[in-house]
Amino acid sequence: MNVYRLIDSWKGGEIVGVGEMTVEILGNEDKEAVLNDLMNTYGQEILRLVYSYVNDKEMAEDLTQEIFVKCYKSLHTYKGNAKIKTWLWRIAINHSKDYLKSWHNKNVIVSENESTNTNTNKEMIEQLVIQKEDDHQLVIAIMNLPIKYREVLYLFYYENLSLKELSVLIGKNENTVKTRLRRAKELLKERLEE
Amino acid sequence: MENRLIKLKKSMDQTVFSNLNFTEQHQNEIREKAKNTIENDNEITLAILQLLVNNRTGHELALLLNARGVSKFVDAEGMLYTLLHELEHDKCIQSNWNESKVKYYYLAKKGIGILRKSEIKNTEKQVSLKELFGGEA
Repeated sequence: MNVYRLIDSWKGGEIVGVGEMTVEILGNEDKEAVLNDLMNTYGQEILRLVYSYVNDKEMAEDLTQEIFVKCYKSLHTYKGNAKIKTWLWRIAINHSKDYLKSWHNKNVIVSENESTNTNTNKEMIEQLVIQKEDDHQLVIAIMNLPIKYREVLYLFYYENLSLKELSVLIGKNENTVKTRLRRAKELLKERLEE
Repeated sequence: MENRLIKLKKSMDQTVFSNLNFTEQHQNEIREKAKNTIENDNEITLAILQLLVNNRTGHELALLLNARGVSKFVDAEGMLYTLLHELEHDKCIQSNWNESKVKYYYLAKKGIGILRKSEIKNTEKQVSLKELFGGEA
């Protein structure tokens, strides 16, 4: 009975007023239904979000896959205190950051990352011919900012989230978020004027 | 600057995100992995015991576990060796060095017992029992 309530309210993109036990009693079939819903609703957004951290298409796809598998495995830990979207995004953000911090990324992928960056830049430069130059310069400049500045710009301007939402997602207080946004814009301005 | 940032969505959608798509194939792969993922440590231990019906090296185990959906050891084989060490300490498994100085793990008596009990509980896993007792199960 609870399961149906959960699945029903899921359609709205968030769960409202569901008891703590609900997710725990989900059977495998229900968990799969939830996974499918999550992927349909948030798959594309999560893939972009992860890309904004790792700046590499294939790595973003791999990590997105891992993130959804992780969610499936941790569904029983979702207590309904936060919106499901917030829960999922936090997992995605932490997973992306863990990857960036990992030994594997720092020691094995470094040279590849550089080449991928150059490829991305090349592709973008080709597109520059066709499209507006300054939009692309802006994106390149943002993708080259340090993570802590890139993420606030992305979440605030691309995803249109509020300062409060940002604060919850990245686990910093609103003043820190504000300071980072301001600093990010300063850095961006400097780099674009170079 | 602010004006340009307000158009960031459009700018990114037309550049870095232009060929970034979460496809049906991605979804299928995720569903497949989610289903095959073995969820808790008990199940991982059991999977190790099942695989040690035959002698295996740690590296072989890591690969075979990955094939079963236990991916946590892929970039962290050290964690697997810690677990193997614990299992050996608990006398569930034993190990030996072969003539080419490779360490092999295999089931000890206690491990066989645990495996047998779990097989009785779970009929799905009878395949490895058959392996263990030459097809009598």
